[in-house]
Amino acid sequence: MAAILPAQNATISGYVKDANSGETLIGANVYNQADPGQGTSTNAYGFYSLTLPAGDYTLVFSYLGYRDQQTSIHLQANQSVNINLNEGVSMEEVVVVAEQRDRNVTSTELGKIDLPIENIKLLPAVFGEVDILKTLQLLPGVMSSGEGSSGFYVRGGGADQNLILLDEAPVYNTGHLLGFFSVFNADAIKNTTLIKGDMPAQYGGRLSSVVDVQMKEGNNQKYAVDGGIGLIASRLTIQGPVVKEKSSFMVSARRTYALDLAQPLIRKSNFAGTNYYFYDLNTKLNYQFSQKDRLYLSGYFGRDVFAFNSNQSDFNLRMPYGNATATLRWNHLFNDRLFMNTSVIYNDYDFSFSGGQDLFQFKLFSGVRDWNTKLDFDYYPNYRHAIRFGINAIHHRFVPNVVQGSSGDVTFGSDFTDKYGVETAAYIQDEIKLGSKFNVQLGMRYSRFSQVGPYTSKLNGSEYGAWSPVTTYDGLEPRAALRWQLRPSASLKAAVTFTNQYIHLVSNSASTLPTDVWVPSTEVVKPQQGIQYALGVFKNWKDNLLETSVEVYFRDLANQIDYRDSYVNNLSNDVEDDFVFGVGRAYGAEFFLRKSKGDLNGWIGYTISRSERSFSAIEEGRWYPTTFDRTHDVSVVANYRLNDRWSFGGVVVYGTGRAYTPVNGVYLIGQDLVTEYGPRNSSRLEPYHRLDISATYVPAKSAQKRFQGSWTFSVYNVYNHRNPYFTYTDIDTNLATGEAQAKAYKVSIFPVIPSVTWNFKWK
Amino acid sequence: MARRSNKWIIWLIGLVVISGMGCEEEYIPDTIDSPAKLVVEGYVEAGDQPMPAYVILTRSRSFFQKLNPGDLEGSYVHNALVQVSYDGITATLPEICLNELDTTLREVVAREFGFDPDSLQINICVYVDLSGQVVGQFGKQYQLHVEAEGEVLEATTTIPELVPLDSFRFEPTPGTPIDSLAQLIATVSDPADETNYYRQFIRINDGIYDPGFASVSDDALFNGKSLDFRINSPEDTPDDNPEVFGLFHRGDTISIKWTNIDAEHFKFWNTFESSRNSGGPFSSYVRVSTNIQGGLGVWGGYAVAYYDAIVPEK
Repeated sequence: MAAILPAQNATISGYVKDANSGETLIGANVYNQADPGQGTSTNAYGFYSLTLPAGDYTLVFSYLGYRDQQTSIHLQANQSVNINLNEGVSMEEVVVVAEQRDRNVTSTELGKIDLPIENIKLLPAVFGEVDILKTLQLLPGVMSSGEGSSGFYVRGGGADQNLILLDEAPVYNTGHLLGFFSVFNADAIKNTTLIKGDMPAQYGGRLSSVVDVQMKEGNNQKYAVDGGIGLIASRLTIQGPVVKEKSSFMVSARRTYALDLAQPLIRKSNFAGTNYYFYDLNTKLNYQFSQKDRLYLSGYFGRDVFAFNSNQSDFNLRMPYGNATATLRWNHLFNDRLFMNTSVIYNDYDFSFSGGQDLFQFKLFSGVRDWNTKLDFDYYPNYRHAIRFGINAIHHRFVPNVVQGSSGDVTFGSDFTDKYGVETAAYIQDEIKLGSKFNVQLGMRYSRFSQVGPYTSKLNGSEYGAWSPVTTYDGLEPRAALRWQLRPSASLKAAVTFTNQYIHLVSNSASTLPTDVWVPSTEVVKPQQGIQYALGVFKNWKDNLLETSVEVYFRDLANQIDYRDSYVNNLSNDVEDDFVFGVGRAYGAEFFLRKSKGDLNGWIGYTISRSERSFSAIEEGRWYPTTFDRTHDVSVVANYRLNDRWSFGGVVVYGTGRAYTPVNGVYLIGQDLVTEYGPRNSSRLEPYHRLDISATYVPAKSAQKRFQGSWTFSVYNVYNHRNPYFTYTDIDTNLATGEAQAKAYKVSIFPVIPSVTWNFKWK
Repeated sequence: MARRSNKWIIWLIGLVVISGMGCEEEYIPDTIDSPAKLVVEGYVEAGDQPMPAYVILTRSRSFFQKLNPGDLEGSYVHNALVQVSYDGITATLPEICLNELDTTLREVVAREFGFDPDSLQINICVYVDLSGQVVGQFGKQYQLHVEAEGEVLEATTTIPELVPLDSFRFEPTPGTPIDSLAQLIATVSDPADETNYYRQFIRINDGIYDPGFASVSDDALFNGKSLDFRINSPEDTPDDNPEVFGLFHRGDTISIKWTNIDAEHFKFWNTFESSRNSGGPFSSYVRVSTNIQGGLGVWGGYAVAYYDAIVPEK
């Protein structure tokens, strides 16, 4: 590419950072004020590179929630310019900077949304626990997996089809306490990006979406402490420079304590030793060796621990589970236009459940562990091209649900062995500006997965040694996106995305549980495959004050997995032996109106959609809606800043009721009436709706004081609507008297919940 | 054992979350008007004191709020052709209804089929091999053929070889012993070269043989091992009274009906018992499986052994 460049081009490159903390800003815009088409944006490490014909320019640096900065450049030779942006919004600048303001219209990406954490923190939260995954559920195309749950489904895809990354490490279980809280402690998070449309080629391994979460790097200017005390958990984050402007650290911890407080009472009872808690620990350290080299080390460790003792009957249970991730990254700048990142990533999810009574002891455990290496390049030959390419290799180990038990001296258990897989990929992608009207993003990803030994084939008994391939699958995953600028404030975008998924999680419940196990593609289980076609119209109004968009999509899914009918989890079978395989389709339209600026901001999202599956082994292939199919889904999200002390937030959600399998009839077996179920997911619960509100109060502070406290008051489900969480039926039969009573119940779990959280900052 | 333990955790954590906050209301669910299906409950036994082969034939009913005795009685399907075949022999089972019998016989028959004869309000009808043509034998296959109201049902079951208990004993209750109660520990030596499925029933004093709430197990976790395991008293479920669940009263006379069943028969009871505990947020509904072609229910063979004992006084 470089060869075709005119000789008089020169490159300006550097990092865009927050002026106060030195945190790099991801996705900040950099462009020529005179011709906004000559622009770029910062990558995941805050780096930008813009190659333009030599000349004089006024460059604008902008980032949502920050004041724009304009810099005059006399560009003759390559030069490095680092920019520090200050927080705050000034309305009048909108006029100055004209159209480039909003990438939603001008970028090629479809279905991509960035959510800076500060915006998320202003919204009401159940029990006052700020939760990025619950905020994502308020966006069109993203459905909650249930009341109060952090689990979600994107554009009709399964829960396992979301690639959730924390500093590039996949997080296999994102929920604490059965999914009611996500593992992401908002205090440790800098930015969250959701990609539900055209997944760029650097991402792979999942069909539906990418949620890319970046931790804060730590303030490299000065020490800062912030934290909070809430109803559920307390938080503390410490960050600061190790070497000023060169190196910083961040440590953030969160822990629940409700049952800790009750320990004095529990200790005196028959249940001494019973407890439940969860905690998270996020840490990050970075060191900038030079303008060209930077090292990042980040880690996450979180656990849920449940323990139950009944001392009187000598009965005990213990269930710890959680994730651990570690990411080591090295950024290197080969020159002004070629940026490299190398990552080595470890991540682990493990679950264990053990218990015993008297002479019986029992243990169940499962998990997944990856070693993952990546090499990614960003190459900016000129402002018309942004080229990315890279390679990735992952070694997976899957521990199935292994049961070990003992009865006195005799041990028993399942004879499952761990399964192993090697997943590799290579990709290249170019985002090309074709004149002022068209942008094209072309990408190709090649992915490959081998189930490897040690393994003994179920099909033919063959033995495989360590690393020896048992079965190999591979595929090309082309990705293409086109943007056609209709007018300065309006564009039309289209995208086609092919994706393959080699590891799977199949849940038998309405939402995912810590007990659900990830399984690899094997000689029995084929990779899931998906194609998504998406089309969108984007239009901004009133000098980009209002963003609107309509996106439609159709998805075609192959090798979808579910449990066979009449499946019972006895823990004694390899789950893949109870799988059935089929196809899926999902389609819908998403309407989005957003106001990002001003004292009153927020969005309205509406989705009309359908998500269906067909399995030849289930009702002879009848197409049925998934449990997360919602015909209508509406979210209204608003923030209002009244003055420096008070700001308010509100959320309204409405969704079509969840599909469930109705009762068809009852029949007699012995003295019991047995429920006979009708066609799968052929009935609906009543619609779900709810209003949440919040108010944040920041007491006035004197200028010298380094300490700042604030109070957040939040009310979840303000009008106490009893949204059904699940239903069940109960039948009383008495053949002796000849009477039987069948009843159906619906259970709601979250009534109106007020909460208060106290937060503080010290810097 | 595994499934039971799993439920514990779910409920306990559920309690932590929900305690004092949840709300439950009754509602009228959607029901579907689909044609009622024929339901078979039939067994053939080999081993100790085998019951004669019998089939109870009923129709499923739509799900509504209350069924009275007339509705239940109306479930029985009469005048069907019910045939059992094995070894080239075909036996036709005649239908008998309890109110056709004299009081003494009626009492015996009712008790055999698991009903308390004293307060029996409805007229139970059974197709039963009164003439003893169907002889239950270990390792044999038994075909069932039913023609009723224009429909034909077919099913096959196998009576597996009997794997008896090695022994059983009563032990003090776990933890702090409760003097009036005891736990029942049995030992079985599972054969290694085949998959075995077990089901047990317990009779206490004059009661009926009751499977309790979790009566079936396969040998996947203990194939080929000689294992001590606890047999629970059917009187309670762990939800009702967890502290004394499964324990026996000292001084009671108990009888264990210990059986071996085939894979399909196991699957029926496994899904049956699991479906009673499902439908909540944490487990999907379970559709009860069937081995009846053209209908619902089960045609099951049992290899049976009985063991009697008095729970010893402390």
